[in-house]
Amino acid sequence: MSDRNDSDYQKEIESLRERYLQFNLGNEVYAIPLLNVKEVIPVPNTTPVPNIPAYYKGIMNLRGQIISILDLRKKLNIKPNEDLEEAVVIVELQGLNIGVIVDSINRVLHLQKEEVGEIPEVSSQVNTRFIEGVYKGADALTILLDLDGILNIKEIKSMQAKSA
Amino acid sequence: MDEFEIELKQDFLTESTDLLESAEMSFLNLENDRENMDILNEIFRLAHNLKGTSQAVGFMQLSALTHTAENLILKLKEGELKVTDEIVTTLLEFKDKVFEIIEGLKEDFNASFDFTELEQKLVKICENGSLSGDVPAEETVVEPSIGEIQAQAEVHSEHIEQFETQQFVPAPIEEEQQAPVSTLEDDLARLEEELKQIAAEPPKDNQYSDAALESLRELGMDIPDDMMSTSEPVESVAAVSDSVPTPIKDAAPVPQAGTGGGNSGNSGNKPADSGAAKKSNGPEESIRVKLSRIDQINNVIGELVILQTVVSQRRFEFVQDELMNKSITMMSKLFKEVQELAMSLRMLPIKSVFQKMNRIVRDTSLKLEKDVNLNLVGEETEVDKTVIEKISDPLVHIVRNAVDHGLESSEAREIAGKDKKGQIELMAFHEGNNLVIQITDDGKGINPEVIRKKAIEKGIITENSNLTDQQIIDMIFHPGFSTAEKVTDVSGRGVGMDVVKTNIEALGGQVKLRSKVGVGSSFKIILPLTLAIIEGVVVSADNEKFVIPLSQISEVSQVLPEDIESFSGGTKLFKLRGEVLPLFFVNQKIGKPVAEQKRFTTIIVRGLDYPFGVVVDDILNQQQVVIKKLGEDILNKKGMLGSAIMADGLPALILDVLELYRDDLKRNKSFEKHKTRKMAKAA
Repeated sequence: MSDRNDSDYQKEIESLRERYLQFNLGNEVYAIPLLNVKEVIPVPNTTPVPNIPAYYKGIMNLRGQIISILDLRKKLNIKPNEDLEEAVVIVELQGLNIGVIVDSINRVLHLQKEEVGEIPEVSSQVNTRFIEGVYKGADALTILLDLDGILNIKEIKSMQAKSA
Repeated sequence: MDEFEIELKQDFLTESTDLLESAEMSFLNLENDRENMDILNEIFRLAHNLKGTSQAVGFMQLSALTHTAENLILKLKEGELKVTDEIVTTLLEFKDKVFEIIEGLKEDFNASFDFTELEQKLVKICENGSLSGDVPAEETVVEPSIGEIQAQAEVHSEHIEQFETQQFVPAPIEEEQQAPVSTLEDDLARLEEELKQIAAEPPKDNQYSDAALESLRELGMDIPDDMMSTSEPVESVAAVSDSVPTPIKDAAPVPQAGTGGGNSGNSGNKPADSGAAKKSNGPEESIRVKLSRIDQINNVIGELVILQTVVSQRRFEFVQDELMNKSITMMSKLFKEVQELAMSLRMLPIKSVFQKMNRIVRDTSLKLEKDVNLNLVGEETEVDKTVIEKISDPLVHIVRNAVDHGLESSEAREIAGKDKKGQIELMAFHEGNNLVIQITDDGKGINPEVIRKKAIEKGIITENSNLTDQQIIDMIFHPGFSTAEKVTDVSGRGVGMDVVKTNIEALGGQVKLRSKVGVGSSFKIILPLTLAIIEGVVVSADNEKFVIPLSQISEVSQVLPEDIESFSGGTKLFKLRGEVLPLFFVNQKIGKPVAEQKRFTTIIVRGLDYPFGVVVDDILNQQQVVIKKLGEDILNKKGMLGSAIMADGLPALILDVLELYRDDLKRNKSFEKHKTRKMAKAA
């Protein structure tokens, strides 16, 4: 690979890192890194699973693969906004594919590092542990979520390692 | 360590597991056929192979140990030592140790191992011919005369000429088949030389010497061309062969490999059809594929088949075109074929498990001083890889038991008028959609009276229990039942047959035992051919579909509400033909209320100690389902075998009802009291 291509590639990765998928949860606006997003689908029919937490909606068949669907609003204790259309974002976190239900997808944000602020003192319904930063856009604040932390991916992975 | 090196090491570790399996097989063959040069050559080839490759990828400890063993094997090959029981046992120990080392290295490339004891044993045997230190009297090592050495040198220069004219790397299979007698010897000699070179010039940093790569390539590993500093491998071979003629005096293995036949007075023809040549005779080539990829293919094909079903069903409504209809029919057939093919990718012959039993029988019978012949039938029978992995332990247990408890001692056999040699037959075959493994011994059989006495003693049954002989024999599968009069380290620790039974049932299989006093016993293990598909019953509860494995269902019964009694703590019991069973509702498990009904459709499950009933809304149909894994993010998978995609494209959970209600059953310890009280009332 020539140097030029290499740096182009680096640039592309960089620019992907700066992109976030923005969506609504209740009345607040959130975003997750676009690199984690595999696809967005309408809320599918799910099958309930016994002995699992309430935020767990069930399992779905995504083209032959069984995927768990979680309700991000329930997980974060956010009251769903009845007016908004729901969608499922299929994310890939450390090799795990999980679907999360959100209230409406807005757009893809292109952030510059300097536009992302520290975790604010403002009141959000989300535990600050799970907030990576805040983007101050023209209209409103967008909270950048740490999905890995929220969904406890680390713990799942370690459980997996133990059982394996 | 760069990626290539890691890959190389990993490849080596996987491949050497296969090598070890063949080695064990050969050691056992050697025990039965001690003079057979073919076997010895094969063993030597394997050891040499292992030594060379382990050194090349940098596992020096392994290489050192193998080298010690190789010395011993070489002496056996040369006829300087005779094969004894002791030697075979030590070689088997060696194989076990290497296996341990390889397993250890799989975990950690830098792991260090202690094998001094074994190494000393090998050295001692190599020097003295036995562990006790007595030099066998008739063994005289013949030093080759000068004339012989010259003759050898001539033979060698011939070989070298052949080397230079032959295109060596990578030799096409046909060529190897027709190859002259000397090919194997050449290979050995060349490898020996190459290894010397490797030893002489240790790899600098991550750079592999060409010779090392070359020998790896010879052993079938995939080395990219760009790893070689010379683009023409032939050159390096030529360089190697140049160095052959001179070191004859100090390079002992070279002349020995060349004229092994000459020394022992045999014609040199024998090695030709052994080892390498034999292996390359295999009609089909094969490749290694990651299991996950095969699963992926199965996943996608499964989905295609579902889509295809939808298309097939709808076509008459929407498609008038005849050609289109024809094509869809053709496609259906092809899809089915493709699905079967994809499924068959996971199938392997059961041979590897069976051959393990050779070793088990050998070790056990030696320990117990019994004379046993193991007969293997149907080794080529194919079965799912996962089944192969999981069936091994239960089989070991049964085979060990057959040798220990099943077969009588030689004296007892003679008194009974049987052949002194006990027979154990291990047979595998397909029966419908099942794999059947049958383990038969011609031992003393199981005496129901002995079992009955024991069961009463252990409080499993009572004096007046009215059981058939078959029911009594089946008691040996009861937890905590061991019939061995004395506890040996071979078997009889009180765990055993019940574990075997649970393991087999966990695979969705069954085990049956038939036995006749004085004639022998026969275990029949019936397993599903694949774990990827199960025969299931689709039920509904609260408008959701669930699949319950057919194997767990004993019967289906309609229970009237008046037959159900509730107890404190939510325990519900019901009567089934005079038997009192606990009753559970699937709806409760998914947090849904139980609807009032005139009669409850109840599935009766009899796997655990207590039978119980599970109420569902309806039973929809019985079908084969493909098991799909649930997401790893579901931490509590208790009671769920996985999920299956139904014809409507929605997933349905496959419930392991035994597991799902295990805790509920345990929690109801008081249940037993209820049961006895109720039974007393009824009586």
